[in-house]
Amino acid sequence: MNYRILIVDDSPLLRATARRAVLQAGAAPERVREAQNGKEALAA
Amino acid sequence: MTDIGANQGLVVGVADMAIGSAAKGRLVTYALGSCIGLSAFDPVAKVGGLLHYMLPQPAEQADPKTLKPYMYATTGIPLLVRKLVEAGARQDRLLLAAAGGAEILEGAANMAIGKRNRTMLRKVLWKMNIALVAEDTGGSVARTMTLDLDKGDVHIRSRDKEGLLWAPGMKVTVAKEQP
Repeated sequence: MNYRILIVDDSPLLRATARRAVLQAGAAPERVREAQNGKEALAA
Repeated sequence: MTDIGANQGLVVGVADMAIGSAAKGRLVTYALGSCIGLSAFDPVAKVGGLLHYMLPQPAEQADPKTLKPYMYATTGIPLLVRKLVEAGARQDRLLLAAAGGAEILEGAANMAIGKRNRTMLRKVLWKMNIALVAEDTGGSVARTMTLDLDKGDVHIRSRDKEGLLWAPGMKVTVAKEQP
């Protein structure tokens, strides 16, 4: 799966859950990024 | 699809499991009502397996030495994957498809077994870090599930429909849960 994915949530637990789901669905780990707020999301 | 003789495929009974490679032809399991059929196939090693489990988990007082592991999701699913890995498959290549988990009985007689089987399927797979590629679950129909051990195709037959559920190369078709 050739998508770039950005997970934005202020809860580390929910980010980890979402990360696990997209990895199980076949996303490449190096193409999944995380941010905990809007500023970080825009920078990522 | 209809006439699967003993020499054309292997029938997986209720609370049972079978694995095989391309030479075995097909694995088929009948009468999936609230039970769930789970197929797994490694397209590189060309080995696959089919599990037909009845219930989510054993009763707490059950003796682990005497219980039938393929009767339950919590014991059957890890064992299916382990047997396939022993037969040369790799867990990260396995393609899993599920069928069944319907609600056949109405009212008090129905203890929501289908729904509980579907929930436990998700829970066990989540823990094992494996995603389904396709499923035909829920509703109120009985299903027959077939896994082609050469091509990896999964067929479903029910009162409503008959046809290909998934084949390697198809896009992932995990549908919205039926009520």
